[in-house]
Amino acid sequence: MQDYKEVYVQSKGKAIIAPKNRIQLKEIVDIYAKNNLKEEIENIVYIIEDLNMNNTYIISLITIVNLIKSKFQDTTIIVIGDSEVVLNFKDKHLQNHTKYVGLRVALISFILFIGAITAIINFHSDVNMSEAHKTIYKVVTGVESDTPYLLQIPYSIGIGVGMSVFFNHVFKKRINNEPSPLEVEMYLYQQNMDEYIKDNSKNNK
Amino acid sequence: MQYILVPIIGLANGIIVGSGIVALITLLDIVPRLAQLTKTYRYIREYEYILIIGSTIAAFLSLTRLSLHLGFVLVVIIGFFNGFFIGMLASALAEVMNVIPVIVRRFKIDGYVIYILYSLVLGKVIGSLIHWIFLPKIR
Repeated sequence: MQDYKEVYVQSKGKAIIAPKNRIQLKEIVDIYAKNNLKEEIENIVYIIEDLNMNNTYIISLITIVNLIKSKFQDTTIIVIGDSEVVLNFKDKHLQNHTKYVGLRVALISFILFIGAITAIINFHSDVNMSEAHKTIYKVVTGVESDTPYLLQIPYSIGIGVGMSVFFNHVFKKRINNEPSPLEVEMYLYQQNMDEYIKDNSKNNK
Repeated sequence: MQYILVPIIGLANGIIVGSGIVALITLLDIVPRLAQLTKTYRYIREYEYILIIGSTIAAFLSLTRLSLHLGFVLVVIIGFFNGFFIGMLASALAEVMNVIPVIVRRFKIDGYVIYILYSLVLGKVIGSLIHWIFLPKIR
């Protein structure tokens, strides 16, 4: 009767590491085991063939269990949580990404700026906002006017303030520690992308 | 006969339109967002009442020839908060919320979301001003 040693393995979920073929296990999973065994397992090398910088690799924990088992046969391996690691490589050419970033931001800002102008004009025409403003102006002041600027200019400024408040950017320090809706949205988008990559790479195996 | 039928039709119309307005305002997360910002979740019920009262008064006043004669200072304040609400409405719309994450990913500009956001905000403000000030002159 062999005495099996227990090894607990937990996926790091998302690992971003410097690009190289030989990855140590501790870079992609968290391991718990008895002291010296833990170190030995952490230093096992996982080899990636056909390394492509821009690819996202999905490493199934089963392959890692195989690796550990082949080196240490007298272990029982328990996987905690997620059964995959999403592996991305840090960009070597990060300088290239930051090179034109100002230009890119300027370009997109310009596009969105023009787009927002068009969108708000479209929206006002859609809902016949000018008629609504004339009505409000008439109700409040009793004066009929085709160009109720007193209502419309504060209204325009109000749009900006309202948007800023919605995105939580009007007060530099957070009003509370809750994330802004946009941050939640970005997070969800990222999560969906990762899910998609995971599921599709499974089918290709 | 018509004195019975017409009010019934009007009431039915009002019920449906009222439901529509409530749906528009609540579906876009504006009330929860404001409650979250001001930490006043406990007063959601009061917000409901104020929405109902406001909608009813506005519906009545906009369809009749009545006016309140409240002066020009109030019209400025009303205009500002009207815009404030529309700004929140525009932000909550799916377009803005779904487009920004895609753009940030595509063009790899993680740290610059604030610039993207403010292009949109400024665009809306300036677009609105263009609409009110320049378009009537062109026509």
